[in-house]
Amino acid sequence: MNTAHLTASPPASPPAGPTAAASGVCWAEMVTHRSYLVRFAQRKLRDPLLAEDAVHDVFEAVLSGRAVFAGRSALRSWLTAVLKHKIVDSVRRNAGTDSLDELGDPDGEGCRALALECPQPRPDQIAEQHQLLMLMLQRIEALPPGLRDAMRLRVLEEQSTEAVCRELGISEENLFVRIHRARKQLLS
Amino acid sequence: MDLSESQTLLMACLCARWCGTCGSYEAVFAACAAAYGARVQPLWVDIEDDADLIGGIDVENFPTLLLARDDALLFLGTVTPHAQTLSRLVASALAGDLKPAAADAESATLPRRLRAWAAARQRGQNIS
Repeated sequence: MNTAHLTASPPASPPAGPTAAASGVCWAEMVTHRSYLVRFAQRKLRDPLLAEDAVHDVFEAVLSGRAVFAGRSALRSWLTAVLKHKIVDSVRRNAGTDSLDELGDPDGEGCRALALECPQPRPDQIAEQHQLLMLMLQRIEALPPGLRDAMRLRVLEEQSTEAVCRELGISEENLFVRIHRARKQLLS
Repeated sequence: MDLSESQTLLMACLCARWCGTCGSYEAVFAACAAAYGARVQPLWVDIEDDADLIGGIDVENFPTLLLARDDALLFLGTVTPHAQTLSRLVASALAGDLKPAAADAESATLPRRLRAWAAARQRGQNIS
């Protein structure tokens, strides 16, 4: 769940001095890197809200003292390193989910949320299939009687070859020839 | 009556592209046609490619042979794919030993349709 819209912005006033001091980071200096960090996170996560969340987590970790800046590198480099970990955490958290927002972009990669779409045909597809079926049934009825009966019994009614041959009084070879001729005519 | 001098015998094989027997039979058919020369008019007809030509006529199996003198149907039926069978039937027809066969209306008019179809095809080849 995204909470960045509620929490991403830094507090209106700097947090209590001791907390910031415990992290070894000057709050005012850290805030100057915020825009850079957000852009970095957006490039990695491709989601503005998740990016805001990740940067917020970085700031929170620093302010709470869970991440301590030892001064062995530039502050921006250190914040970026912390942010990378937060990005990894974010990716892991969201690995099994898809944003419903992606439904509006069906061409997007990894849009597994589309799987939520009902696999059954849509009403218009059902109507189209029904029309095609009716058309094909009409064409079968218009076939010469010998071919029509073979198609009706063997294909539409799915009777066994033996049963169809017995009913029509024809050989299996003849049935095969009839079915083949019928299909060719129906597809022409 | 010996028909060999006065009338060309229509000798048509009804086949299908997917039929393996027909594929090997085509050479037998061509050899027989060559042996009888101008006394026969050979036609090789794919009953699926030219479905309208065959219409509702039941082709039970392949190869199905048709022999006709003018518009008179002498023979229409499945034959074994052997050269001797074909040669014997053609010889009998040419010798006048085959009498016009009883046939339904669609089969009875098939020789005429086949000749017209062959003539049209010939004209098309000549044009192209």
